[in-house]
Amino acid sequence: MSFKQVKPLVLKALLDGTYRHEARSGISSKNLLQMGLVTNVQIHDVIAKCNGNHHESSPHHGDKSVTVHILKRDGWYIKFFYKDPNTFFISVHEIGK
Amino acid sequence: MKMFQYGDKGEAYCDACGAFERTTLKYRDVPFDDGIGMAKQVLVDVCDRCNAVVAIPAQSTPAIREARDRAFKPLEVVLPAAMVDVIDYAAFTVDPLTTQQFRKPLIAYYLLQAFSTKEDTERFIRHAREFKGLRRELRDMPTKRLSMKLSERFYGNVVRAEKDYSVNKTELVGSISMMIKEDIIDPVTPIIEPKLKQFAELMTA
Repeated sequence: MSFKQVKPLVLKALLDGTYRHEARSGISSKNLLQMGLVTNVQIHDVIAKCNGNHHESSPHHGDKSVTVHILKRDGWYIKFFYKDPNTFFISVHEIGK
Repeated sequence: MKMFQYGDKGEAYCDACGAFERTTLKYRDVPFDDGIGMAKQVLVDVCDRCNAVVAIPAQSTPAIREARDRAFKPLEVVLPAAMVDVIDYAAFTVDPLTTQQFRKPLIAYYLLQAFSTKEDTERFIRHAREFKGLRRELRDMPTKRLSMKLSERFYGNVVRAEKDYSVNKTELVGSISMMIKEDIIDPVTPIIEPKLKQFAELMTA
């Protein structure tokens, strides 16, 4: 799915609390959204401001049909994918930290 | 806010299986990936195929945050015994019912206080300089080990102070002991912040 298609879905998930975080080797301590060190509303507002200029994508390493989206905006690095009906965050951290 | 329940089914990517798999929400103990602490009995998506924890819903974040805050880091220093006695006697002066358990809150309180205003920071820097100057003189004095565990969040204040004011942990706690002495031990009428007294009272409630 393109960022344009997925953007309203991730924004909705952030507000209604249906998003999830990937857990590969435990709780990712660098994922500030998961750690409760940044709020869902703050990340929602960052993503809401993102457009194609702030976006990169790559296929998910385990399933090429799933697109991993990377956003860089206002000092934030946000990596997630959407697999209907869920949004999964892989990373939410400040760039350079 | 949508709240998921134990037993709810879903789908998530399982790294161990290398594919998207069916999942079930279960309560599990999950470690932090940097090895500091563990979130106990948090609701997580468990792979139906291999039983691994594969995803964590948003609603588990408060439990994760609480677990992280409780993941303690040790602060251990060796100080001249007299400086440790100052801290203990000051704790006793604040509230005679407190025990050595009040050491940590007292030091923590002064650590926050030391950097709360420009004046307090200047006072801390002055004592830090004085403490560094005394290190050689104090070398042959009897010492005591002061050991406490700090939450990671609070430990950040120690790290920040070390970095910002070029002090090590011994100098930091030694300087705080001197501040405590100046406020609580030296004056005929000790200078004790009312909130510190209240806090001591709460601890012995």
